[in-house]
Amino acid sequence: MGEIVLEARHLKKIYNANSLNAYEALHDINIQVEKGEFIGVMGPSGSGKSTFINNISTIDTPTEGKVFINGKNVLAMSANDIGHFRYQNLGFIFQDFNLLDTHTIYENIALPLSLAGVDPAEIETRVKEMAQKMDMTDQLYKLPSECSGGQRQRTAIARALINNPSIIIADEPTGNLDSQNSEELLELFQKLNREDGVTVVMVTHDAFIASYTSRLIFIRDGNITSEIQKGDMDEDEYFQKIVAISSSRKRRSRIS
Amino acid sequence: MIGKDAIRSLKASKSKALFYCLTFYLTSTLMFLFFNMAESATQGKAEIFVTNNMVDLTKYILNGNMGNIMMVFVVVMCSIDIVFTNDFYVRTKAKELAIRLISGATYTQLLKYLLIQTFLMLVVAIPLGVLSGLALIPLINHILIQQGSDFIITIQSFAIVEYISITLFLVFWTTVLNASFAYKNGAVLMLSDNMKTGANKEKLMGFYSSSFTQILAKIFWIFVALLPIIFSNNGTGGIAVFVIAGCVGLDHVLKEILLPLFSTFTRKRKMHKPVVAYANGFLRQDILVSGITFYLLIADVVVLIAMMFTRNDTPLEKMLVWVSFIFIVILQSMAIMFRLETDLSSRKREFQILDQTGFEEKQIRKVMNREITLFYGFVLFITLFYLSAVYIALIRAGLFTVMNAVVITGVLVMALLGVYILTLSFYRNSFVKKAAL
Repeated sequence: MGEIVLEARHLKKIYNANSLNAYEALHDINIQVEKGEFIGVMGPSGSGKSTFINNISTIDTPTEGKVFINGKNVLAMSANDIGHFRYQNLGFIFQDFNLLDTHTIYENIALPLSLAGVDPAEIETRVKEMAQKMDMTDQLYKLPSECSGGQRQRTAIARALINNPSIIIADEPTGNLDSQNSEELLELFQKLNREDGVTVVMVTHDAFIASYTSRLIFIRDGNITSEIQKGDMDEDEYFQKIVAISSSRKRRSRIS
Repeated sequence: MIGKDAIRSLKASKSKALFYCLTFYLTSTLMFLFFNMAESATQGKAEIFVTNNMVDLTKYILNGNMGNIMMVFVVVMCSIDIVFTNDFYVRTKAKELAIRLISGATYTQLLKYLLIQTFLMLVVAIPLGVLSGLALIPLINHILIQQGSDFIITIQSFAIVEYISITLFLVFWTTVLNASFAYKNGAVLMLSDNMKTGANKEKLMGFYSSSFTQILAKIFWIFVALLPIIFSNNGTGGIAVFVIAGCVGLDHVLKEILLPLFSTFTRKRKMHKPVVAYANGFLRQDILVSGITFYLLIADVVVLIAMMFTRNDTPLEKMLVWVSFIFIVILQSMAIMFRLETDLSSRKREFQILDQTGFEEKQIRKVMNREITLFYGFVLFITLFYLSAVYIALIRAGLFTVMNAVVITGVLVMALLGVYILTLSFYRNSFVKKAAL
């Protein structure tokens, strides 16, 4: 077994706890993620996918349980320490890009480096290198509103990668992209995962996108209901298995 | 049903409604006082239209028809303020309007929904403003008598009619325009926040360009922006015209030179300080979206001061200009605040992103403090920069004392300080708690 970079133990999330409207969105979730894994999280709408990813990545605080990232208990950290921890260890990519609309592409990409107090000259070098990798050099001094959807998502990816995070957290990263941009993004994730050993945890509801992962977790009604390891399966075989499980789950949910 | 929903919506946005009422209250007080002064048949207009010795063209404009010019000027300035206030209120209701559109609301229903809210607020603000105006008239008359004026202000029923007609007209049409904009552009645009920030966002020059033709253009705009300073020694008459031209030049200088240089400076020197770097980015946006409102403040202040000191005013005329000056500075400062807050109200997501990326709550507070402090500091600096041209011209002409400069600057500083505190409180209360997770 490889090095564990992310672990959740007995994770529970209750919204509006201690009120009449209390709603338990996650029930006793346990998961371990090894270094260099590419994990997919699938499930129907309202199953708790985003709640799950937010609670294991410091974006939200679980009601009960423990979360360890790179061996550190993040729930025991102060709000300020979590801030530092995020830009040093995690890179976030969201469906709606989450870019600062008032700031240039350059300033968006440089955000984690700025927080880390990196020297402006080094920031410039790294941002320009990253922009070149992402084919964004001509857009650096524009506002996000002046860029296409694909360019905006590439900016979000550049920002997530600029500080060389050990884990990338992606919540439906292809949700606002066309098929070509989606495939490019997933190939990039795969490359980072295989060549640089970056761990990726990605939420998706699309079986084809999920087929890029190395392990897939299915969530339903706040529980992890099943898991598939890609292992030695080829991509088609893995995809077929994902489709089979998700369609049987869909049928099951229709019957219930 | 629409009426009940409108009242519920009004209750749900109490703080915005309060700002709205406050602006209309101040506008009502000023316009009521102003129309009473100007409409006092014998004491007001008759005195104002006294012909004076004409020195130059501007003096002719200012002196020969001062009552009319002042009337138009004050009405235009108050109108701009009313438009900005109404615009702010309606745009912050974008999401509500979007939901109504999606649910199948017709244009008439949308308009009715907005008009009920705006007119309900006017029903509170206008009588309060008129009452304050009535309370201030004896005080102003007392000062006038002390100054040796032969005339005092008498209450004119027509003044109330004039003010209410103008206000209702403006509020009605601004609301109609906003409702039309909402209806034409549909729910998607409103839900995407563009309704709040204005459909036509300024294009940002994120870097400084130094091609030959652009340098020539930049030199030209610097010259135009400095016109009021360059010609301040040519007497006081032309200063108002030069200041207006200067504002046009300033707009170009800001967008084509200062803001790109500011971006480059931040990128090259300040990126390692996240609070400074990202507050500067927000500040750049604030200046871009609020430009028109502080150009108007500069023009108002300079024109009114030129009016105050370029002629031998009678006590009533002086009082008219001083009252206008104080109220216009307050109202115009509020217009800047409303324009800025319209943009700030769509920043919640930006602060959530900063929070998610690793900004601490105290850093987010610092970003807000720095942004708003620098913004109003910049507005004050740029206004005083142009005002200094008028001060110099008036001192050279022997029409001005240091005390005058202190009082005028004091009024300006106090007004901007007031809106600075209000903006900061609005900004912090709206976002910090929600942005922090």
